[in-house]
Amino acid sequence: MNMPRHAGIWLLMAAALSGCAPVTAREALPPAPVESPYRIDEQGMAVYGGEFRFLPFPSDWELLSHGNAGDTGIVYYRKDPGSSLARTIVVYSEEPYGSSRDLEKRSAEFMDRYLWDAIMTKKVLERGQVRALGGTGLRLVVEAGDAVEGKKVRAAIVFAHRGERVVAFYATQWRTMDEPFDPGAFLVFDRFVESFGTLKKSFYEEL
Amino acid sequence: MEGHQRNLYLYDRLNAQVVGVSRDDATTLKFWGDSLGITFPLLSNVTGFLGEFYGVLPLGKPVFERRTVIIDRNGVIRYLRDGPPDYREILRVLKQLNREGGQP
Repeated sequence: MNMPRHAGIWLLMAAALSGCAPVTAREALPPAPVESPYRIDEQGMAVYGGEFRFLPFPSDWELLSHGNAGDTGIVYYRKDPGSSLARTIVVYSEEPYGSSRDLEKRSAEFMDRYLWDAIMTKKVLERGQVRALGGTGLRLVVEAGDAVEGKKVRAAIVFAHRGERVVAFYATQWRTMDEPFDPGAFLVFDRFVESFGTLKKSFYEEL
Repeated sequence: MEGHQRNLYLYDRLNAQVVGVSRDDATTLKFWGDSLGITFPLLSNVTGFLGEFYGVLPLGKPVFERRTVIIDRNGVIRYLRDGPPDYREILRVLKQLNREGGQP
């Protein structure tokens, strides 16, 4: 008998779209020591989580992420000279905003949400193709400013495919309105993207 | 919820259907879902009986607590998780359920 595709289904329900995560009382335990997922291999390349390999960042960049790259991503931070606002953050994310598996569509979805809480109107300055993860990626350069709060941001974003899914690399550089952007940080970002490779199949490719 | 939308093609392969439930009204859910590009059903349960049924309706609070529930084809709850969804764990559970149950 032909049945609808979902006639015999697993029903997955997710409650509380607008609810907050429950707060549960827990005993105060000392934090478990966190083993760094980061190491340098024999060729001098950085290896993260046994899964990703890339050129190490210069010593003035700090690795912020210490967990699974799937949800939190790989995050590097640099406090730049100048005001307290001056900083650059570089991220590799396996779950960038949006859901499309098409690079163009995903970039549009991403841009709807990216820097959303900064309430800035973003302007795409550049759009082009780059090599990323062994394929063709989509690279955007974006700027935005907030004259009221006196801050501005410049970002480079690369969308690429890992298997069927879209992943993203992005560098976000914050400055006060009168501070110049530092193109050197974006060169570090570009080297990160160009050198970035995977050492094994992703969770989704193995599912 | 965006994570579920991202995984819809995998849920389809694993013969699963995702449904979101909230106490928000239908109009709010429509705009909220549209803003995230959500295409799976979002159920508005303003009276909250579904939350009571699934144990996510705290006394004196107007919203459900977050809980992910997987129900099998026989209506049996096979997975519960409170707090933010663990999307990879959900996929692993669905894969295991498919192994157990074969194709529908």
